[in-house]
Amino acid sequence: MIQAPDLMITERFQILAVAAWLAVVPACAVFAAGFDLNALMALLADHPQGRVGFVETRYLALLDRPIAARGELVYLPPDRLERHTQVPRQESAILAGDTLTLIHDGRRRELSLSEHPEVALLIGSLRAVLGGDRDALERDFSLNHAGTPEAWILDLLPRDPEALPMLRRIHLVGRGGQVELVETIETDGDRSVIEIGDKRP
Amino acid sequence: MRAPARLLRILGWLAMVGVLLALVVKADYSADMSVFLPRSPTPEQALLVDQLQDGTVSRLTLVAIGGGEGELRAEVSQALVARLRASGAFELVANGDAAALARDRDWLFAHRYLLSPAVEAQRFEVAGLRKALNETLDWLVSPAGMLIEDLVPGDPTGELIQILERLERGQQPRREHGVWVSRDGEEALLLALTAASGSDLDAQEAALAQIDAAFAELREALPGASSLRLIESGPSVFAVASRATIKGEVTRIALLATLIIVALLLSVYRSVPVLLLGLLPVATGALAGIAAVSLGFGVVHGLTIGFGATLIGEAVDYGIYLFVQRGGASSEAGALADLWPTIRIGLLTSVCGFGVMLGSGFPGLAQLGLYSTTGLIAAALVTRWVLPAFLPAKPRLRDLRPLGEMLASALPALARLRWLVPLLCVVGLVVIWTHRDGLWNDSLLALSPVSAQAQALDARLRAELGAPEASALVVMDAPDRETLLRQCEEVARLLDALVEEGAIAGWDSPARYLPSQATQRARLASLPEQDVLASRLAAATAELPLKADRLRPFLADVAATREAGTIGPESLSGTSFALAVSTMLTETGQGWRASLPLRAASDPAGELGIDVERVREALASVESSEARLRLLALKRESDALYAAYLSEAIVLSLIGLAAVLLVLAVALRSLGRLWRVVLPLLAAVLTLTGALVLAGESLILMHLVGLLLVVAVGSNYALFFARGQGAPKPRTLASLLFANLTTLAGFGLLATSSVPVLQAIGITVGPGAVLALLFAAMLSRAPKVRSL
Repeated sequence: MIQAPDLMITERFQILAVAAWLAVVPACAVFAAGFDLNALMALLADHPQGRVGFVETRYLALLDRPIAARGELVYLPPDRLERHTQVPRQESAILAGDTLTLIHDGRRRELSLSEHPEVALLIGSLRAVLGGDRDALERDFSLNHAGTPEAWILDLLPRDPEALPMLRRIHLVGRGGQVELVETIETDGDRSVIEIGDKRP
Repeated sequence: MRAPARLLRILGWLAMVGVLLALVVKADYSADMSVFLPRSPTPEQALLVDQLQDGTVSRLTLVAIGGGEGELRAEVSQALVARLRASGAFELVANGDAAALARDRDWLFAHRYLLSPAVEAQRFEVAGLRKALNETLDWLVSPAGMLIEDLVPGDPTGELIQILERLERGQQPRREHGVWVSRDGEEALLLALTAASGSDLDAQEAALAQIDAAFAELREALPGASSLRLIESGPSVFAVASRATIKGEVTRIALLATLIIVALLLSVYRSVPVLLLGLLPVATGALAGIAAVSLGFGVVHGLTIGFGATLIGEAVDYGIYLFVQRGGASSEAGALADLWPTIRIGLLTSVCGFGVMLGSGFPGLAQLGLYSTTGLIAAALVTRWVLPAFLPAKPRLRDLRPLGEMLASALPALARLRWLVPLLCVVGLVVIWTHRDGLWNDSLLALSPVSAQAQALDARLRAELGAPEASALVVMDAPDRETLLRQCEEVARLLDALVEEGAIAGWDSPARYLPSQATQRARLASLPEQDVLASRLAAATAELPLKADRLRPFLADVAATREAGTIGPESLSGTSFALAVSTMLTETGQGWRASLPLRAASDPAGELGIDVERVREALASVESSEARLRLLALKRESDALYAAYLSEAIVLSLIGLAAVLLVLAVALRSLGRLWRVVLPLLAAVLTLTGALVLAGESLILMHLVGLLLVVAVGSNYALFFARGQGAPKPRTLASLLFANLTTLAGFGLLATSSVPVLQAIGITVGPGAVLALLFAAMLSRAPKVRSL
C-alpha cells in the first residue's frame, strides 16, 4: 500500500514543479492556442498517485429514490486503480493491468478486461482518464472537452454503441489534474454520479 | 533316415500347419492400445483405467488454429464450428462464440428458480424477500451494478447471482474477435466432443479426419487463409496417432529386420531353398504363437505379432546351428546329436525368460510371453524333427571353417582381456549405485507412446481452455439417474464444508446444472402463487427504494416457472453445460455413474495437493444403501499403478532369473560350470545397465524385461563356451557369430523405434546379446587353439 508521508512529499514536489512550469512559461503555446486535449491529458498524467474518498449515487428509474455507496479510491500510476466500498457493504474492486479482481464477502473473483469489453469500457475508461492516456481513451471513445486548466469538463462518447448498448456517455468534471466528478449516463436515462472528494491520508 | 519316415514327418508337419493356419485365420485381431493398460489391479485402478479408456474426456479433442491474422482465425473458427456441428460426428463443438455465451446465460436465467440453491419457502415470505431485495440494492451500487440492473425487474431476489457465484467453471479461455483464443492471442481455440465412444478408434480417426477435411476446405475457400495451420490434441488424437506409429514402426522394423537376416543367412547358405528351409522353424513358430494367443486370450494384438516375431527370431539360430554343423558333419546323425543338448538347454532358459511375461498384469506382455514360449518350442521341435527330413543329404553351404578358425585364433587375444570383465562389473555396479536415486523413471507417462512434446502441447491447450486436470474424482454409482443426482446433492454439502476447511479448493457436480427431480420439485413448491407473492412483494418493498410495480416481470416469471415444471437432461442441449454434465454423468452397463472433479488448493509457492485422507474420511460419513461412493486420487492412483507395474516386473524378472539358474544348474550339474555360464551374463547385464544410465537413459520396466531377455538369449552363447573342456569348435564359433548378428539385427532395429516400450527392449537386448557373447568368449577356458 501507499506510504502516506512519501505521498505527501511527492505530491508537494509535483505541485511545485507544475507551478514552476506554469510560472516560467505563462504565455507559451498552450494558452495561446487554448486549452487543448493534449494539455488536459498532460495535466491528468501529471496527477500524482493518491487515495481519495468517493460517493457514488445511482439514479435509476427502477427506484423511488437514489441509492448511494461510499468509500475510497486509490490510484497508483500507471495502471492500478482500487475502489474500496465501505457503505452499504464492504467490497473491493481492484483493477491492475488487464485483471479486475472483485473481493466481496471473503470471495475473490478475477476477470480479464479483454474478455469483458463492457467492464473495460466502464472501469478501464476511468483509469485511462486518471492516467491521461489519450490513446486508450480514443480507442473506445470520441473525446470532447471544454474549459480551462482550472476548471474543465470532458465528455466520452462510445465509438461503438454495440459494445455496451446501455452506455450513452461518460461526463467528467475536474480541476487541474484532479477529477472531481464522473457521471455515467445510460441510454434509458438511468445514471450514476461519482463524486471524488478530498485526499485522504 | 528312410524315405517313409521322412514322408511321415513331413506329412505330420503339414497337418499341424494346416490346423494352425485355420486357427490363425479364425482369430480376432486388434490394434487397440488398451492391452498395454493393466488388466484390473485394485478397484480404484480399474476405475482409473475405465476413465482413461471410456470417460467423456477420452472423446474430447482440443483444436488450435494458428498463423495468419486474428480476425481471419476467428472467421475460420466460426466456419469450422458450423461445419463440424452440421457433420453429426460430434456431440458438441464449442469455440466460445457470443451466441453460445448468450445461450448459456439465457438458459441459466430461464431456469433460475430451479437451479438456485437459495430458493426455499422462507425466501419468498415478506422478511426473506426484504432481505434478498436489500442485497440486490447493494449489488446495484457495486461496480457490477450497471451490468445487472437490467436483470433486476425479472430477478429482484438475485437468483442468477446465486447461481453464478457457485458455478465452478474454472478459468474461462480468453476471447478475442468473438471466439476463444490462447493467452497470447496467437491461436483460436475450439473444443470438439466426438459422438462415438473413446475406445472406438476407427470412429475417432474418422472424426479427426473430418476436422482436418473441414479445415482444409476452409483454407482453400477463404482468401488469405492459406497461412493458417491446425493443431489438434487430446486423448483420441494420441490414441489414433499411437496406433498409426506402432503399426508403421512394427512394419518398418519387421521388414528391415527380415531383410538383414535374410541377407545374412543367404551369405551363409548360398541357396534360396536352404534359406527358406532355415526360416521354416520361425514361420511355424509364429503360426503356433498366434494360434496359442488366439486360443488363450480370444484376441491377438497387432503388436504381439510384429514384436513377437522379433522375440522368436532366436529360432533362426537353430537353423544356423543345424545347417552349419551339417555342412561339416560327415553323417546325418552327427549333425544335431552333438549340438542338440546345448540347444535344448538354451531353449529351456529362453522359455523361462519369456515365460515369466505370462504372469504380467499387462495383457499385451502376457500375450507376448505366450506367443514367444509357444513359438520357440514349436520352432525347436520343427528344427529337431522336421527340418532334417527336408534337407538334402549334403547342402552346399559356404564353408565357415576359415571364418571359424579366424575367430578361434582371435580367442586367445580376447581371453587375455578377461581381467576387463570383473572390472566392467565393478564399474557397472558403481555407476548403478551412484545413480540409484534417478535410476527408474517414476512416471507412467514414460510408457506412453505419446512424445513428451505432444504431452506438453496437450497440457498447454488444456490450460489455455481453462480445463485444468482434476486432482481427484469422487466417483458415485447408482442404479438410476435420479438416485445418483440426489446423492450428488447430498455430497455437495459435504464438499462445501471441505472447501471451507481448505482441504480442497473447489469441486463440480452435475447436480449444479441438473438438480434431482426431488430438489426441483421442492424448489417449485417453495414458490408462492402469483397473488400471494404480489402482496408479499408489496409489503417487502414498502420501505425500500424499489418500486413494486416495476417488478411485475418477476411475478410473471415465477408464475411461468410454476407452470412449466421441472427440467430433464434434454433441456441442457445446445448449452455448454451439456458438456459439463455429460463429462460428469455417464450411463454404465449397470446403472449411472457420476464423477465429481475436486480441485486442489494452490498457493503462490505452487500446487498443493488434496488432503486425500481428510476427504476420504469425510466421504465415509455418507451412508447410502443405493449409491456407491469412492474417492479416486488420480495422481496417487496412477503412481500406485506404475509402482505396481514396476514391482511386478522386478518380481517376474527375479522369478525368471531363478528359473533360468535352476535349469542351468540341473543341466550342467556342476557349480563351476554354472558359474562360467552365469558370469558373462551377469557382466553383460551390469555393463549394459551402467552404460544405459551413463547415457542418460532413465530406466522403465521394459528395460528390466530386456535385461531378462539378455540373460535368456545370452545363456545360449555362454553354454556353448562352457560346454566340455575347451572353446567351441571353429564351425560352432562361426555359427554363434551369425546367430548373434541376427539377434543384433532384430533387436538393434527396435532400438530405433520412437515407441518407448519397443525402444527400451531394443536398446537393451541388441547390445546386451553382443556383450554376452563377447564376455563368454573372453572368459572361455581354453586359450590355446585346438585343431578339430
